[in-house]
Amino acid sequence: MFIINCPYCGERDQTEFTCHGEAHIARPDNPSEISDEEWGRYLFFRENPKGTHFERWTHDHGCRRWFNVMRDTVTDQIIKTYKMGEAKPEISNE
Amino acid sequence: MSNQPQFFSPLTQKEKIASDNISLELIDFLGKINVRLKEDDVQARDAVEKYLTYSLPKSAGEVTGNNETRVLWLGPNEYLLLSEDEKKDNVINGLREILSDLFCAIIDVSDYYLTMRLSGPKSIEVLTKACPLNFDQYLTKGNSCAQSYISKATVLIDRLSDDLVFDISVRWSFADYLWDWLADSSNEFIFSEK
Repeated sequence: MFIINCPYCGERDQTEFTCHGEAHIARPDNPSEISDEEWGRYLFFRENPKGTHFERWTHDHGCRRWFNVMRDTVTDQIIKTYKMGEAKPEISNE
Repeated sequence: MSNQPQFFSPLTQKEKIASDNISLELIDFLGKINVRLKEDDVQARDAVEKYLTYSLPKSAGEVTGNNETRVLWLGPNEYLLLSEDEKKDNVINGLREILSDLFCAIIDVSDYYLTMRLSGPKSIEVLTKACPLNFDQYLTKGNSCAQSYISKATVLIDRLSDDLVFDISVRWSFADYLWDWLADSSNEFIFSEK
């Protein structure tokens, strides 16, 4: 069983959660002024790293809140979960 | 045919279970009010607490209440207020009045959820068959609640007392399915002397 620590509810089973892709993507403030290429980059281009990745998750079968997860894409280890709006944690090089 | 609206519950046809080990019954027509306040709005919180005369749940899984109403924690800015069906309109109007100038949402969800009561010494054993909650960590004592799912139906489980009594609220469209599932899972604990 894979346990995820919801910042609001505590440790719960993975099956209660859903992943919604990469976190910390800011919508451009001036969509009408930027080029199609820049808009396309915002809409479609994602990091896809081998290693630490930042994701948005929801606790669908629990408190139904959104939060961020710092996860290693190689080992699947969840390094940290934190609330929406909190700063992106530093990646340690250990 | 009468023109008066007829109130009925989708589960009235179901046969309730009553045995020494496990019991399952329907809790009909319970007033349920969803209350949402801003997480950091102390003023709104104080107003609601003053109206209810007790404090709102502060952390996950907490339940507070008195003889008339009961408040369950649903999220950091969301609560479910339970009351008698006849009194819910008074509560809704009362809350709307005291919160009229504040940012909030008071929604009557009484008909959206159905509540069934599972009790008896084997109730946790029945629940753990298809609920991923760790019952050593959550719902360990009375007046606690947790949201999870039971066999694919999203539920809110409210433990009423230190005895094993659980009120399970489920979306009404799932109620028939969940009742059948709970009845079927309880079957092995019911002994009949024939």
